[in-house]
Amino acid sequence: MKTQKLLHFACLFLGLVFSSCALAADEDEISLTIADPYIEMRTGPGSSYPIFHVVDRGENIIVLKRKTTWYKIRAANDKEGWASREQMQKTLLPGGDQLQFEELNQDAFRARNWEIGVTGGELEDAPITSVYGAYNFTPNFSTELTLGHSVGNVSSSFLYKFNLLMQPFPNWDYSPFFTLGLGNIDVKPSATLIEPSDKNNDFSHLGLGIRKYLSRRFMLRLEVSEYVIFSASNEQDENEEISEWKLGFAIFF
Amino acid sequence: METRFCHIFLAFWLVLFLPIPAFSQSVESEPETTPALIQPEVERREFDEADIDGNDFELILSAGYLSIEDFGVNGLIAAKLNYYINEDFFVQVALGQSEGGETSFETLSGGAPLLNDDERELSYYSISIGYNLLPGEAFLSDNITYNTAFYLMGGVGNTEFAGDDRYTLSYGAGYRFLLNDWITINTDFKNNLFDMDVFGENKGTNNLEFTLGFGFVF
Repeated sequence: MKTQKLLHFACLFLGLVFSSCALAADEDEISLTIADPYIEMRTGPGSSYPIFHVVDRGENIIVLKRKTTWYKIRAANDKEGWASREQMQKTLLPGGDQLQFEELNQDAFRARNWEIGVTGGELEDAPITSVYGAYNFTPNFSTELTLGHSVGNVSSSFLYKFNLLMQPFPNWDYSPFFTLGLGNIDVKPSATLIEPSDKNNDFSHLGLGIRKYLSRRFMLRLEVSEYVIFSASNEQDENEEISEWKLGFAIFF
Repeated sequence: METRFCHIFLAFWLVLFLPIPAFSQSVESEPETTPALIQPEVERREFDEADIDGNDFELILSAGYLSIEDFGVNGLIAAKLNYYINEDFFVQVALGQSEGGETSFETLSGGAPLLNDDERELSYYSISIGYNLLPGEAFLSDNITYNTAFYLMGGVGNTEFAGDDRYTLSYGAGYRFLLNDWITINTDFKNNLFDMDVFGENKGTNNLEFTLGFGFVF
């Protein structure tokens, strides 16, 4: 008796869950009408996958998901396949308007808010790998946070830095920029060397670079920086100065 | 006198009623701006690209073997995150953990170990670019087909082993088998190149890696 009751509850619960899922799915579904003579459905999200079905003009399709620039669609006969972004842009919305995807071009690049990138280069002859995230307040002015790891023969260092970036000519194809910031570097000497201990110092840095929009969400970035490490102490009279170059790419949102 | 009355009367009427035709005209023109009597049955919905479920990321949990030069072949676990840039390229960030075994010298001499337990732990990270060289399909039966891809990878990173960070270059190839749109099976073969100075002189080492894992696309 008890199990039967439980079963009822379980059925009710599952029923509720499924019906709500079905409702949710219904609300999210994007239905489109084909406006071109036909659109092609491929077996996979890529131009090298074969076309196995075509949907004719006037028929409706439902968009299920997106992977890179490919859209998984379901035709009226329940066939599912992948259609390209170019072909999807020639379909009509329920109101009769043409579907418009956000154009990812140089204008979108200029209007970007967020940016995440990876760079590789050298910090005083030792290879350095960095990741950075940036927020753009205006096309000319942004702020960045960078994490870097440099591994050399005698030591490895981990650094983080916060900097402001000025881009005086954001409309130029190769757009120059200047950076100014502060950070901290932690230098760990190699285990095979007999050195006192880790060195941890703050630094300021000044940089100069060039950015170039590539395509879609991508940009190229080349940068050279000078660091002044605040290592002066009782034993050491002067601050250390080191230089860095790095090249990388970034994705913007 | 009568004509004057007539004039005043007419003028009065003119003043009073002349604007009316103009007014009535504006009333007549109003139906042009009223909404159509037949409303379209389909409801207009704003299209938002963000409503389409994007699937550009994949988290892969894998296990396998790592051959650490001079330190034997050992188990390896790794977590990888792929971001698919377009149908051809992807970026991968990987984290891995393994442990170095004993060198032949340590085993034969039976003497003091070269490394302590902490130093024997190996961990690495890498940032790589992958290229889907051969996207394709695998046919299991008449009507069961799976999408696959054979890809090449190359990247940079760091390996922490024997108490030191070691700048690492890696390259390799892999095979991705998509069970459905969400779950994949990945197998990677990679070579990790880094310098080691455990035996006194600095030498370049080749450290081969094989992993098999499940990926979750989101």
